[in-house]
Amino acid sequence: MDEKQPSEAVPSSQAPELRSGRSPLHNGRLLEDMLREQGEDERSIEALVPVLERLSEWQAPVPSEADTQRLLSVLLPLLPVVPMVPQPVATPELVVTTSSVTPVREVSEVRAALRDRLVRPRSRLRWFFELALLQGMMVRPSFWLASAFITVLGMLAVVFSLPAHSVFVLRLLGPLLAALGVSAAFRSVRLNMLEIELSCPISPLRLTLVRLTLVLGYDVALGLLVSLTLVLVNAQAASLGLLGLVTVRHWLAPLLLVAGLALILSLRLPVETAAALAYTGWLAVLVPTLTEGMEQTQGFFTSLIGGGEVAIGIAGTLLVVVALSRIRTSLSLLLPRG
Amino acid sequence: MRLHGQWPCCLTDQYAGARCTGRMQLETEGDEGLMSRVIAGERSPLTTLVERHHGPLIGYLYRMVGGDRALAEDLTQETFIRLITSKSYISTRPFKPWLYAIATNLARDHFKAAATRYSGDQHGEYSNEEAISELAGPEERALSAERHADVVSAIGRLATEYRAALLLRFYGELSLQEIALSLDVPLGTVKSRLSVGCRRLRELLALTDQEYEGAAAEKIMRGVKE
Repeated sequence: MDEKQPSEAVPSSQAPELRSGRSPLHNGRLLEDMLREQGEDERSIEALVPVLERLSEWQAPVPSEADTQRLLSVLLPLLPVVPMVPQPVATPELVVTTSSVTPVREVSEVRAALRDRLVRPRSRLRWFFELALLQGMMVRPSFWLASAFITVLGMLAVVFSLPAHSVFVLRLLGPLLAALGVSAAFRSVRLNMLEIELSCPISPLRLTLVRLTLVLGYDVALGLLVSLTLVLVNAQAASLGLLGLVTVRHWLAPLLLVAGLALILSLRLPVETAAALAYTGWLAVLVPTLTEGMEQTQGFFTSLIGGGEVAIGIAGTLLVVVALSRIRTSLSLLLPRG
Repeated sequence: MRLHGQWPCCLTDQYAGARCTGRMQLETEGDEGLMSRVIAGERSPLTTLVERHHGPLIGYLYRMVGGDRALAEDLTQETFIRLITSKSYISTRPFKPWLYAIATNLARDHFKAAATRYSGDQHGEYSNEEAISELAGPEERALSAERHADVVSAIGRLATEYRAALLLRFYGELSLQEIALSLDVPLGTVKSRLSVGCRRLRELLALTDQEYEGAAAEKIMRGVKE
C-alpha cells in the first residue's frame, strides 16, 4: 500500500472475535472443547485454558471502511478480463465447505444452465433452430397475425373477386410482407435493445441473419401457400405445369427487392421509415401497370416488371447481401443518440 | 450483515430494491461461489469477499508479523492480489484455507527475505500503543500495555509453524481440517503443533511473567539503595 494511514486503535468491543459474540478466547467451555478436539487430556485442558484466555489481551486493528475501499481500488483493476466466448463448465458440483455443512453450489442454476446450453455440442442446424426459436419471441405476435391476414385476404381477392388481376395482387402483397418483416426483424433497435445485443456472445450480425431468415421465411411460406392455392383453384393453368413456378416468381422477386431496399435504407434511416420508403417506391412502379389511359407508361412499367422479374429477384438478393455486409460497420449508427 | 434498506444505495435511487437484493444474496453466498464468480471477472463478489475477510486476515498477519500494522497491510494486499491473479484456484477447494495458505506463505517469505527473527521484545512497543490507546484511564492503559506485551512477546518467540497454527486456531477460529489445508500438513501434525504450541506458549508466558517480576524486584531494590 502506498499510503499508510495511522493505525486505528481497536477497542476490545469492536474486535472481530468479539463482535461475533462467540470468540473461543472469551468462552472457557468453547476453549475446552477446542483443546479436547486437538487431543488434550483433562489435566492439560485445565492448565491451558487460562493461558489461552490471555490471548484475548492482544487485539488486532480492525480496518476501517476507507481501508477496505482503498484495498478494493487496488484489486478491482486486476480482475481478469473474461473473453466473450463462454468457458466450458461442467454441471454444477456440490462443494462442502469445511466451515459449514451446508452445500454450496458452484454457480447459480440459471447461470449453469445458460453455460451448459452454450457449450453443449450440437449440429449447426439445431443451433440455428434453437436460436430462431428464441429470436421468434422477439417478434410481436401481431406481425405473424397481420402477415397471415394479409396473405389470406389477398388469396381470397384473387380467387373470388379479382382473378384477372391475380398477378398484380401477388406483386402487391409480396413486398408488403417483406416491409413488415424487415420492420419486425429490427424491432430491437426501436426498443433500444441493441446495446444488449452487442454485449451478447452471439454477434448482432448473426442475430439479424437468424431473425431475417425467420420473418422472411415465414413470408415465403405464406406466399407458397397462396401460390399452391392458386394453382389448385385454377385447374386450367395447373395443367400447364409451370404455373406454380411462375406464380412464385411474381411475388418472390418483388419481396426480395423490397426487403433488400428496406435493409439498405435502414442503415441510414429508422427501420419503419426505410421499410415504408422501399414499399412506396415499389408501389410507384407497380401501380402504373394497372392504370388505364396511360398505355405508354403502363407498357413501360409492365415490361420493366414483367420482363425482368428474375433480374429484380437477383437485384433484391444482392441488396440483402450488401446490407448485411454493411450492418457490422454501421451498427454504431443504429445506436440511440443523445 | 446489513439488512435490506440499510445500504446507502437503498436511500438514493430508484434501483435500490434490486441492487440491495443482489447485495444481500452476495452476503449469504458461500466464499467458494463468490470466488468462482471473481474468476469469471465479476466485481461485486470480490467486494463481498474482501469485506468479509479483510479484517480477519489483517488480524492474522498483524499477529503473525509481531504487531507491525504497515507490514500486515502490505501482506494483506499482496495476499488478495495473489488470490485474484492466481490461476490455480479450483472451485472445489475450500476458500478460507486457501486464502490463509497464501497469507502464511507470504509471511514466511517475508521472514526469510528479511532474515529476521521476530520477537516480542522487538515489536512490543508500537503494538502496545496501538492496542491500548482507546482504553480509559492511564492506570488501565499501563496495566493493559504490560499484560499485552507479555502475550506479544510470548507469541513472537514461538517458532513460525507453531505460531501460525495457534493464530489460525484461536484467533482465526479455523477448524483443524482448515488449518491442515492452510499449512499443507496432515491433520495429526496440526494437532501436534497446536499441542506443542500451547505448552510452549504457557512456558513463555510464565517466563515473561518471571522476567517482569524480576525486573520489578530489581527496580524496587534499586530504589531502596538510592
